[in-house]
This record gives sequence, C-alpha cells and structure tokens, in this order.
Amino acid sequence: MKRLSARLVLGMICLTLLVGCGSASSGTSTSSGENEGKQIRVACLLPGSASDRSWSQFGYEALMQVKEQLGADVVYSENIADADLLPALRGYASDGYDVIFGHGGQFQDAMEKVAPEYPDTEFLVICGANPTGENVTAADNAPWQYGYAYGWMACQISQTKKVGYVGALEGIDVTNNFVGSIKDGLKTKDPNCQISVIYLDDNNDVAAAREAANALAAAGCDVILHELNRGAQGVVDVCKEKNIYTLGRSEADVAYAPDQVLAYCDYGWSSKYVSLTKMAMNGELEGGTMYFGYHTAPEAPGFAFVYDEENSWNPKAVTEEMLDNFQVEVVDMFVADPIRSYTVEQAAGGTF
Amino acid sequence: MSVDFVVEFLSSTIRIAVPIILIALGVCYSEKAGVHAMGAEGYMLIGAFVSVVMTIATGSHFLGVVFGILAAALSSAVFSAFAVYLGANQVICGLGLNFIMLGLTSALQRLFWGTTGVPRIEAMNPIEIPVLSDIPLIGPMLFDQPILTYITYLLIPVAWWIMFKSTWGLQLRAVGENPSCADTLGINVARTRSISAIVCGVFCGMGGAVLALQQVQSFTENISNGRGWLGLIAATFGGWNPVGAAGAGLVFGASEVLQLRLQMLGNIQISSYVILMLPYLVALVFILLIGKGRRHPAAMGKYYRKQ
Repeated sequence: MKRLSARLVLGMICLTLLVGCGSASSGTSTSSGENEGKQIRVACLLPGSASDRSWSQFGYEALMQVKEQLGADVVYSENIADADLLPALRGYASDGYDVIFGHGGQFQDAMEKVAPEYPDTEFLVICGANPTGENVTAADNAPWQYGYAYGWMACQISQTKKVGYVGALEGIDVTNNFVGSIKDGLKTKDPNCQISVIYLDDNNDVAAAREAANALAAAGCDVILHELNRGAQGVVDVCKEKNIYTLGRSEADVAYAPDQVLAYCDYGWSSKYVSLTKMAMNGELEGGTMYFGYHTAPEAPGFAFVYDEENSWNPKAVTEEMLDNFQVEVVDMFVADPIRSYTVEQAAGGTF
Repeated sequence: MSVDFVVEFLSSTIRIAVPIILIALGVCYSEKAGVHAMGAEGYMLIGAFVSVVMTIATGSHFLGVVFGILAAALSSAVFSAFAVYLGANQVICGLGLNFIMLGLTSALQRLFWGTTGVPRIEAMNPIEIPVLSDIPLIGPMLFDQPILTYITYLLIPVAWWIMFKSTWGLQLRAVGENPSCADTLGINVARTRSISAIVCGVFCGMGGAVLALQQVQSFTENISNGRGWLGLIAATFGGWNPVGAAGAGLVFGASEVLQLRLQMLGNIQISSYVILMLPYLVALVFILLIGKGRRHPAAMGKYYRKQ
C-alpha cells in the first residue's frame, strides 16, 4: 500500500510538472478577437527554442511581425522533434489554421505528406527546395549567394590563408548549397586558400561547437565561419578568446566581439513571413520555390550583411577596396547569373 | 605529428572529459550502493542552470558552483526519497526526473530572460601552477586549467579511497551487494543508499557547473546534451570503480576530440555521420573488450525494505 501510494504521488507530481513544463515549449499568441471570422490564422513550427538567439528565434520574431502587421491569430510550437512533425502539422491543419510555416528545410517531407489531406491550408517551408504539391511552397534566401560571399570575403581577410567552417546537418539541400558555395567563393578568389569543414550533427551544442572551433584555430585557421543555432555562441566565444575573425548571428554578437565579428547576415525573415502570409491570404501562392537574393533586390530584398548601422562589414577588417571588388565579383555576378546548385560531395567535410 | 598538436589534442581531451568524469564518479557512488543513477542528466542540467543563475546574481563563480551543487543535491535527495524510502521504480523515477529538469530549466530560463536568452558570463580563467606548468608536454596540458579541473583531478583518488578504503565505502558496497546481510550487521541500508544518491547529485551538479561556467559560459536549453548518459556509460565501463570510470571518461573525451580532427583530414570523402559515430564505436569496442566481464552490484535497482 505504501509503495502504491508512493507511485501515485510520484505520478501526480511528474504529471503536474510535465504539464507545467510542456507549456513552456509551445506557445500561443492570439491577437484580439474583434475581427473574428475574417482573421487569418497562422501556425509556425520551430525546430529549436524560440529563445535560441538564432535560427528559431528568427522564426518566432517573424511570426510576431505577422501578428503585429496583419492582426493574425498566431500560434507556434518549438523544439519539434522528428517524430512529432506529422502530428503537429495535422493538429494545426485540422484545427483550421490557414497558413502553417515550417521554419526549416527539415519540415518539407512531412509537409508534402500532410498537404494533400488539407487542400485549404497553405504550407510554407522556409529553406526548402522544390516541394511537391500545389499547397506547399518553399521560400529561401539563395544560400549559394551568401555562402559564396562568405567564402570570398573570408579568403580576402585570412592572413594564414586557412579558413574554417563549423556546421551541422550534412547532406540536406540548403547545407550542400551553402557549404559548396563557401568553398567555391574561397577557391575562386584564391585557389591556394585552404578550407577545413567540420560537421557536428547538432545545431545547438555550444560546448561541441567550442571544441570544433578550438580544433580549427589550432590548425591555423584565422577566420572561422559557421552556420549553427545556439552552437554559434561557442564559435564566437573561441574566436574572441583567440582574436580571430568569425561571423555573428545578430547585433548582440557584434556588440560582444566587435573586433572579431566580420558581420552577421540579416535574413529578413520578418518581412518575408509578412509578405508570404499576405500572398496566402490573396490566394497568390501556387507551390514551387521562391528564392530571394541579390537578383530580387531591391523590390523583394533577400539577405543583407550587417555590422552596424553604417557598415555592412567590419570596417577594421574589410577595406573600401575589398568592398568595391565584392560588389563586382560577387553582387554583380549573382545579379547576372543568380541560380547555382551544389552537390553533397561538393559540401563534404575535410580540408580542401 | 608536432608537439603542439599533441598538447592541443590532450588539452581538448581533458576539457571535454572533465564533466563526463565528474558524472561518472557520481554514478559510481550511487550504483555501487544499489541505486540506479538514471537521473544523472537531470542533476547535471539543474546544476548547470543554478550555477549560472547564481553566478549572474552574485557575481561570484564560487557561489555559483556551490549553489549549483546544492540544487543538484536537493534533486537527488528528492529522488532518493521516492526511490530509496518509498520504493518507487528507480529507472522510471530517474528518467522522469530528467524530463522534469529539462522542462523546468527551460521554463525558468524563459521566465527569467524571456526570448533574449541567458547572458554570457565571465569565463573561469585557467590558473597556471608554477613550476608544474613548465614541464614539457604535460605541463601546459595538465597544469594550465581552470580551478574545477584541478579539483576533479583530486576527486578521482579521493573518491577511490573513500569507496575502497574507508568504513563508509565498505558499507556502501555492502548495501549494493547484499542489503539484508548489511542490515543484519547494523548498517542503515536506506540511509547509506540515500547518502550515496545525494553524493551522486553533488558530483553531477559540479559536472553541470563545469560545463556551464568553464566551457559554455552561459546556460542554454538542454546544455548537457547527453553528457549525463556518457558519464553513466563511463561508470559502467569503469566497473563502478572511480579510477576506471575516470579512465573511461578520458577515452570518451579523446574519441570526441579525435572525430573532430579526423573530419579535418584532407579530402577523405567519408560522411561526417560515419566519423561522428566514433565515440559510440569506442563504446561498443569497450563493451566487447572490457565490459563483458563486468558485473553490476547485485542489488542494483532493488528496493530494500527493512524486515
């Protein structure tokens, strides 16, 4: 009897706490119901935490802009595990949400499966590519454009002519295009410039990212690029300690390491979420992929490199001459020839 | 292979291994006394979280570490109340505790800092030990580390001595092997087990503090990211002997460092996912070579009710 009571008490406590904690990993943010009936309902699935100061937080903030600018009824779920993708999508679709954003290419397969069951719902996958289905649309900044730009600039900045890269999730389209283009930009600028690529298979492990950055720095890399979520903090910390160059994820990183951060990329997700939701409201989405970048600016701006209000790159590291060359050799090139594609082999780990 | 490479490789190994070793030491104590330490990951999480919160609040790393350890010890005391005194299933209790700690630390982080995240804190700087740090090769590797790393060095032999040479260590091993026999000899089984579980919490809390204060310099959701489980495996491979567990922790650290260096080799055209398996392959090899003859404490996981 005593043991049974213990189990019951333990079960109740666990249940209570789990329910309590569970509410922290998903959130609802509903605007006033005065326009109920006409109000568009938008759901968003985030792969990580809405407070990761990186990728998932960009999605969360973009969703809040949809709420603020369009008066939408918005809801989001964070830390979505692979096993929860289909139930989460079906849950929101069957609850009558008009638009469902998946903030990451990993949502594409699940959206393609669920979309035919809910033809009245628009599924939007951020950083996806070539989705199937009329109500599944992929939107992305052309990753090969900013990847090439990073590689080109890193090669210019590096004194040792050794550049490092720390990333996650090898093998997906966006990674292939991003890492492949970094190598392309770097080697195009100087074939003798070396790049070492490490994948962690985890976007959020700060300690592992630190060790990867330490390994690259020890190998002589004096510029370390990265594409991580919370893990980016580990790379920035190491680069600050060792006084070598890196990228930021937001203005907070520039403020933290102003001498080491070259720039951060403003992906402009907030404006894209708003315009995509408007297009969904007006029935203008027809599936397929929408790429934003140098070729769509200024009408539909893609991404922008930002250091501070006056500079796109760190003025202590990037000279006016470099910027002039950058305009010709990177920006103008992509305006004329915007689309590229890289394979998994071209984005492989190792030193090249 | 240059000397610099070896020093850097081994320094990284120690850095990565220290939190795992601390967890493994804690697990040794709990499981040697017959109490499953499935909650190690949870203790580590709460230890990391509280150590960061208190460091920010007080501006003192020392107080951060102390409160981190206390929070983890309190969690393990709650666990032992259920698992040792009330006879709840130890595995379920431990797993449940991990989920609770993950949710609790994430929710509290959001409550305190909203979506801006926990701010960075000042790193615990390495302390060079005069003379020793000048020894070629091992000097910079072993004796130019933050304070908690030195404490970990000391804790390994101390933990071994207490477990195998002290009276309390004998009692602890006795209740893990044959609690009814220990009981007839006048040993308070529940109290001994409970203290062992709390000692486990203390070590895990310190492991969390090392991870948060020495390495990450902040707290992020799920900061432990499976390191608690690695510590649990290290303790098993080490035969629940603190020295063996520390050795296994070092091997795990080295394999993690090795996989990062392997990825940086030339154009090897091997998927990173294959190389990332290295620590787990090492674990499998360990099972085949060493783990085969390992026998867990006979009464591990078994509730003992005084007759």
